[in-house]
Amino acid sequence: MFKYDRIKEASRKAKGEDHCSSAGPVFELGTLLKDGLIRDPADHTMALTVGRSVSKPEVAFIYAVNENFAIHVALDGVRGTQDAVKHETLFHNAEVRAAGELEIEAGVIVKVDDISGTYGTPGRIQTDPRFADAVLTALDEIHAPIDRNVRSGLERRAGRL
Amino acid sequence: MSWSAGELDDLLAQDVDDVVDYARSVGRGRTAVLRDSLTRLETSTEPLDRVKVLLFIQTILALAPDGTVASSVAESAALELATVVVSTSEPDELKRSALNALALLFVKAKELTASADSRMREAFTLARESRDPEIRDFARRVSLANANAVVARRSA
Repeated sequence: MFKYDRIKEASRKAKGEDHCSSAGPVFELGTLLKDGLIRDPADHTMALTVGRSVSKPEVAFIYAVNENFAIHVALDGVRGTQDAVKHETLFHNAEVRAAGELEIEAGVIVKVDDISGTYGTPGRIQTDPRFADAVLTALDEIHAPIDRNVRSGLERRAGRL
Repeated sequence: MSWSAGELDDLLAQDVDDVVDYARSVGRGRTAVLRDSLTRLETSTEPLDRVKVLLFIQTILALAPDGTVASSVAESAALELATVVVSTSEPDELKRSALNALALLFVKAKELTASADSRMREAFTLARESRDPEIRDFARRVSLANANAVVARRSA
C-alpha cells in the first residue's frame, strides 16, 4: 500500500496546496461504463477519449486503486486552484494499492502508467508485480475495456503470464 | 533537452508533481541530470528537498529504457541511494523512494560493478528488516527478481 507521505502533505498544507478534501468531480470508473465502453461523464452517449497524449488540449486523467480494489478516476486539476482534483483527492488521503495515469481512446483503456508524485509510485509497475495485479484486478472487477496489448503488458508485469 | 544545474534549484522550489512532470521530459540528457541530482542529494540536508530529488531520480530511472543508464552514473547512484536506505537517521519517506530507485537501477543500469551490486544487495537485505511495512514488504518481494535481471544481462 502506498501512503501520501507526511513530508509532502505538510509542505502542501503550509502552502494551501493540499487537495485531500477537494470537492471537484471524482468518478468510480465503473459508473462510467455502458455497453462495454467508458463514457464521457458529461455526455453518456459519447465514448470517452482522454489522457496526456490523446486529449487535445493535453490533459492528464488520474486514477488510484484503493484497499478494496475500487478504482477512482478524475481529470488532473491545477494544484492550488479551488476544487482541483489531485491524486490525494481520489480516496481522500487513504492508502492505495496503485496510482498513476490512464489514457482512454474511444472508450477503451490504451495506456496505464504508475506516475504519481503524491504516492511516490513511479517505476513500481516495473518492479512490483502487486502493482500491476492491483490495477488488473480493479479493472476486471468492473469489466473495464482494456486494449489487448495493454492487458498483456499488465498481465506480464503482474506475473500472470 | 538542455540542462543546467541551476534548473534543479528552480525545480526544487516547485511541488513534487512538477518535479515528476519535469522528469518526464528528461530523455537522452539523463546522464548529466542524474549526476547533478545525485550531487544535490549528497549535499542537501533539507528533508523536503531530498524527497523531491529522490522522486526526480526515481522517475527518471522509471522512464529510462532498460539497460541504458550509463555505468558511471549507475555506480554513483547505487552508492548514494544505498546510503539513504541503510541510514539510521533518514525518514522512512526518503528510504521508500531511495529503495524504489535502487530497485529500478538493477533493471536500468547498463552495467553495475561488483562493489555497486554488492552495496545494493546489502541495502535490500537491511531493508527487509525495516520497521516500515512498505519498505520491508517491497524489499522482501522484488529484490532478487530485479537483481537477477542485471546479472542475466551482464552474463549474456
